[in-house]
Amino acid sequence: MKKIFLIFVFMIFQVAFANLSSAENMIPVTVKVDFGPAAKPAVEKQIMIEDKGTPKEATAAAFPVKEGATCCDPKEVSTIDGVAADPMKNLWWRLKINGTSKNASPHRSRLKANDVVEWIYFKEEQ
Amino acid sequence: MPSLRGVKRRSNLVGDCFALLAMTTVFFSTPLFAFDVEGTIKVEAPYPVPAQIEVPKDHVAHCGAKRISTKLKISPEGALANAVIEVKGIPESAKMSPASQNPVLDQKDCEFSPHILVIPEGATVNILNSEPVIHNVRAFDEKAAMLFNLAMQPEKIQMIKKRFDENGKYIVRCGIHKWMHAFVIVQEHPYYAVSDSSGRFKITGLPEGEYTLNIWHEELGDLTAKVSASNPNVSVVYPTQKK
Repeated sequence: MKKIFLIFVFMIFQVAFANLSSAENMIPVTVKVDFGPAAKPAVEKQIMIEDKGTPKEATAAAFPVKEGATCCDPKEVSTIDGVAADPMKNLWWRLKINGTSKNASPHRSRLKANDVVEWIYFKEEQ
Repeated sequence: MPSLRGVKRRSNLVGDCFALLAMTTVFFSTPLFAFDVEGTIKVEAPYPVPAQIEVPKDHVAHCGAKRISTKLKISPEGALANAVIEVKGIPESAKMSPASQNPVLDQKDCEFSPHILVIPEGATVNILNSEPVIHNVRAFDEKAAMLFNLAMQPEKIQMIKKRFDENGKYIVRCGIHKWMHAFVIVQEHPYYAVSDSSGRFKITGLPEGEYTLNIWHEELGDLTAKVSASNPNVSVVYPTQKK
């Protein structure tokens, strides 16, 4: 009986510490979405994600997201909150991290605390 | 032993039988009464004006500083080019036969050529780069799924071959020269046309019957018209676009 009790206590401690360590790994990031021509109001959310998470993971924590190739890779984001990139109409999602889209990748970039992930839905006028 | 004349007569008879068989095959494989549909596609005045594109400075040297969008080609008389005219309600038996040669989609003068390419199901398109600059060819279907994404370095890759298995509309874009785009339209049957610079089109050899024409243009959308053997000429006018 004593043995079972000790195992039970050990398991409780293990779960508690696991939660504590994963909480320590969480970082705050801001996700902003400008729906542009989709005529939905822009939304900004502060969320907690795991350290070194990707912009796609951060966005998926704040909005319903669908994966799909829009530029180069099937792991990109094709739809945010029901608004989809539409190559026929030349409508796309642009990703910025801390104000710049240079080297910003939805699935390769790694985020740090207080990063700002910004998505802009736009019509390529060309 | 049969006489020489008898052999000749028999051989003539066999030849005649083959000729009759060939004629019968041709007769039954082509519609008993076929007709041609001809018409024009126009736009109601005032005509929409194609956009002028400011070319990003990286591409000016090769493509020029300004370009006119290829989305709208309207003559001074209102004739609309690049509208796709497709006959609806064609019997299953009239499927399109595979192309004998691969259709070609070229990249030259910083545009895709042709702008609209109609191909049979299962055809392989030869995509060319006839320019001394890199192009990035990307194709998407109507559900926004990407079919392929390939960089075409002028010295390294001058042609790629891509097969289109399912009928439907595909948009092909260049990821570098953002204004460059074309449509590949995969058809089940041969009864289609693309309007020329005079807005004219012709669809030949339609089996007798009444049909609906679907007219599609990338900017102006869809229209329909009815045709039959007794009413084979159509003139379709896109109404003025409301801003």
